[in-house]
Amino acid sequence: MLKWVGIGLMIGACSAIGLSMGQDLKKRVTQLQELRRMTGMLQGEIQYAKSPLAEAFRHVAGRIREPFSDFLRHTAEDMEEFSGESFSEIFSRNAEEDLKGSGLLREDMEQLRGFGEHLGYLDQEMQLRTIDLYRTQLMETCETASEEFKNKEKVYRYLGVCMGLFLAILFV
Amino acid sequence: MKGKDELIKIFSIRLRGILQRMDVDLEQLQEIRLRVDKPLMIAYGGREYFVAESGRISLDEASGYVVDKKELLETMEYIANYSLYAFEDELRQGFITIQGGHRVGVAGKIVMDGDKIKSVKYISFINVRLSHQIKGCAGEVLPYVIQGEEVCHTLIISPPRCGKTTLLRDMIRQLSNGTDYFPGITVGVVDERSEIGGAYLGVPQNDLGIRTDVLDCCPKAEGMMMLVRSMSPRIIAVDEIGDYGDIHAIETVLHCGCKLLATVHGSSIEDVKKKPLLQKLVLERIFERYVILHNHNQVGKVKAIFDARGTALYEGRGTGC
Repeated sequence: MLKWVGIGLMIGACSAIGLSMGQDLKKRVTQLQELRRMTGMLQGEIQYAKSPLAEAFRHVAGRIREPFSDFLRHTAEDMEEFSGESFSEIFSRNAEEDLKGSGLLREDMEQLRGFGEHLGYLDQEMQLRTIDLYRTQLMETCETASEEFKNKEKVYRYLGVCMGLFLAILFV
Repeated sequence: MKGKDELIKIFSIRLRGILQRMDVDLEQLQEIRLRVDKPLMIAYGGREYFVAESGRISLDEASGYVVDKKELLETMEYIANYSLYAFEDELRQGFITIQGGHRVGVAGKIVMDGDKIKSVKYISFINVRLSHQIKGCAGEVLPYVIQGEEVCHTLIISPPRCGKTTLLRDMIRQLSNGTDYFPGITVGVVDERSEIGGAYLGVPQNDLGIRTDVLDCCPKAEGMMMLVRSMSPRIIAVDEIGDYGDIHAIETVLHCGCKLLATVHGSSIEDVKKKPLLQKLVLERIFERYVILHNHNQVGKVKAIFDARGTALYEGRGTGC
């Protein structure tokens, strides 16, 4: 009896791992979409209200989901400290701290940090172009991630179940 | 002026330390000047001093702490709150107004777009001009500006750095709040450079009185018309009038029944008459009072007050602002 319970648990655990890996892919797509929404709002703040970054970050933070809202709020707070760090250092540090475990991959984080390096200094036109470029990159990344989700989500699920069955057979 | 810390925050970490150690009366501090590879200087009590790394001020150039490019750029980042793009329009005019109403003048390489200035890059010179709020400094001037229940159209004439904005600010505050002999009235302020109110996120940091409405960062000509249409002010106050649009808007404001408080650069009524656009207003006796400031021993000392005909109503003793 105990043996069958163990086998059942093993199949269940493997299936859950497969399911979770599929969910991670979905989470990444959702987060990339939210990130794109966030940059769209920032673009509006800069283009129409001409808000400085800290002010724009605070406004947008109130309209987006966590963890991006925390990320923007903390970045705005640190910017107002004038602690000697450059903007890109503040941006990068907060991205690292607040977006850890958000579902974004290392390459997505690299892209976000690169975006942060070009914010702040330039004239408004260049600023908007920088955001536009990042949004285009995000759209492409998002499409690739969606495609990956569609293709791999079922594979992970089946693989999880199959792995559980395989191990069950092996142990029986 | 609000705290030293608020002001010092805009400087680079190293400069912050030096300025923090500097033992001066902030009310007497007029300017802090940063130039790449040149000594740190201040204008203090009407004189120029060099600031040493220890914070000691002296007239000895060699003792001055030499500011490097990195420190200047770091300071610029803090002044613009890491968002230079948001101050494009201000930079085109050569200055940014920061929290507290202080004006930061910048110079460097000018980028042209056709025959117009597009922006400033390689900023290598910064001049922080401190805004001073001295409550009560208009006390001696007001009896000459108020006639019965009305306020006279008044022009404050003063050379730069002599306290005309400080005087205007206190006149606004007292007229808005009311005094022992004058009930408060609605004042509309068009604060094109955020110097009068020193507004931060739309809220004036300087006390402009309880019946004052402020249009911040608004061109004077458009702002005066907007206030007349929307806020029904009894007095409109503006700083540094001079261009064609301003004069045209002033004429309109005068015909709407509003009284005008304005300032202009100069040292006498004759100086103002030499400015082609303002000459007409003087000759037509539009302004009923001229308050002339000079800068002898004390910033903001009133040299004289004249009426529209040029008759002196007050001369000499002076009010320090």
